[in-house]
Amino acid sequence: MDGTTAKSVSKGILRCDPNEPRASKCFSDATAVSSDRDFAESVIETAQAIVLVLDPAGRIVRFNGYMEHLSGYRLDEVRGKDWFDVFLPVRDREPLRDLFSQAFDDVPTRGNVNTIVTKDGRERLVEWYDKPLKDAEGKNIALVAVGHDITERVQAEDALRRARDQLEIRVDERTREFVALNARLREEIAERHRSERRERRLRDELAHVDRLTMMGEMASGLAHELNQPLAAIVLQSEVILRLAGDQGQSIPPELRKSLEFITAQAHRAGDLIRSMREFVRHAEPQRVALTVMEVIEDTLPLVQQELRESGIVLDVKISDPLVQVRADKIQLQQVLLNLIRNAVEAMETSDSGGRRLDIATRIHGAMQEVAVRDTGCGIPEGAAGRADRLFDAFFSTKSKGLGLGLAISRSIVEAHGGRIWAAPNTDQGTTFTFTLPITNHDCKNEIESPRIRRG
Amino acid sequence: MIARMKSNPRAYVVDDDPAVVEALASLIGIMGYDVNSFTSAEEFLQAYRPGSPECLILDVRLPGMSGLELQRELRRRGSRLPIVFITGHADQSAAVEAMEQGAVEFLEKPFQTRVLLECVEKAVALDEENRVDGSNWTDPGPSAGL
Repeated sequence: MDGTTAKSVSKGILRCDPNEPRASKCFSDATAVSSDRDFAESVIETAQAIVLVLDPAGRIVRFNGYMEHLSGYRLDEVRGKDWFDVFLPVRDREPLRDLFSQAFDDVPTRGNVNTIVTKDGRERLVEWYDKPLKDAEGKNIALVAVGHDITERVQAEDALRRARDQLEIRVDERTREFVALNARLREEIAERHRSERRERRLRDELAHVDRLTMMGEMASGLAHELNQPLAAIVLQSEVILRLAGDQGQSIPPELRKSLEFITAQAHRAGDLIRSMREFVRHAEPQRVALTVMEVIEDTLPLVQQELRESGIVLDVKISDPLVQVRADKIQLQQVLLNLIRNAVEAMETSDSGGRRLDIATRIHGAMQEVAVRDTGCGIPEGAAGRADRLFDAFFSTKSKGLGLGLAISRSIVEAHGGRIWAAPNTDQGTTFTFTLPITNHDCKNEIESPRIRRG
Repeated sequence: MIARMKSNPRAYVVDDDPAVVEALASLIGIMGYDVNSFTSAEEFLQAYRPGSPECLILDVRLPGMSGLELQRELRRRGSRLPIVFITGHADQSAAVEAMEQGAVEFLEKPFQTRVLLECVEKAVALDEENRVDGSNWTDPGPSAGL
């Protein structure tokens, strides 16, 4: 080949007749050897990888055009210089020198990665495949290293890993957020259910109170209507008496007694109606000086039927019947009725033989005490140890009722300056006690209202 | 004092419950009174001609004009006809007003007949007193009515 071809070859272009089979025609004459070498050169210069040759001392023998392009150094700039000093960062030089000498121990190394520094100071990551080159006697004359610039690849891998990590973090966050959101939603739903239940209960109670109010109105109207025939009965009984007497003879005592009985019963009905109606209608409290005894007397007719039906034996002991307290009669009646009714309910499950209701009063210092004692089932479980909870509004261990009775009773008693409490009896049942301050005996009634005569 | 022929005392009964009216009329009739009964205040006012001695037994709750309104109307006309109120409805404020306006008594049904009769007697006696005083609006003059 002529010089032109050699030049062309050193630039990596092999000029050859493409139609000729390579193996034979191009390399057959005296220039065949140099053609082989040119070919080899072309191969090295064409290879898209670093081809590097170092001498056993680590000095640069040669590297290819790819390396020149990558590193920015021309071969003649660095030929013969120490590879490690020129191309490696300071931190890597010593460790890699060690690795280099190991490479001459005939162990081909592959896949080692290290950083090389280009002429303008950039760092590139290269993955090396090395093998020592030996002469005919087997002596190491050079190390041939093929390197792949994996900088972009590594960067891409790093970026991918970082992206994946970021993604995982974001997924975690999102998951946590969803879990929290879920929990919040569940709590809201539970709260809404609770609200709905509360609302239902309140509506039920309101309906109940409405019914009570309506019943109060009905009771009032009914009372008025009932009083008419009762009046007529009383009057007509008297008419009979007078008519019978008019005949000039005296009336047979049985006849008189019978008529008087009719009259008495009619009056009794009237009293019952009056008590119930006053109780239901009661609006503003009016405190007057009264005796507890009269309140008890007025209250008992209202519960006599219940007591009889439940087989409850009643005993009333008034220690000081004339002692007066200043109180609203209807409200005291309300308290007594509440306590008595509770006692009756407590004894529902007791032996029918042992049902007793004792009402007793006594003086204790400046207060009159009224105790209502039953032989019933005792203070309910839910209130044990916190007996004062019994008196809380809406506290009820019964399935019916508002749970307001004792709360109202407490309000009334405390408004009058007294106290109310419950204590279990030593044998069986409970005693509810309330106190009221005793008033002076010569106090006049606060309200001088014209009392409606009942006659 | 001018002697006068005593006529039977008169009692007016105004109540919207027929059973009560009849029973009251029977009883008071037996006691010797002339009884005139009405089931409304308007009926009573139309028929009422003052006489002597007399009283009015009046229910509070009536159709149309109420018992208290009738009391006011009578006073407005200058009448001092004594009134015994009866009611099936224990109304404290009505009782207060009735008594303040000069009622003889305010009874709640069912009342004891003894009490009623006492009140009626008391009312009629009061009417006689008023008559003697000359303060009853219907009194035409001391020389009349012999």
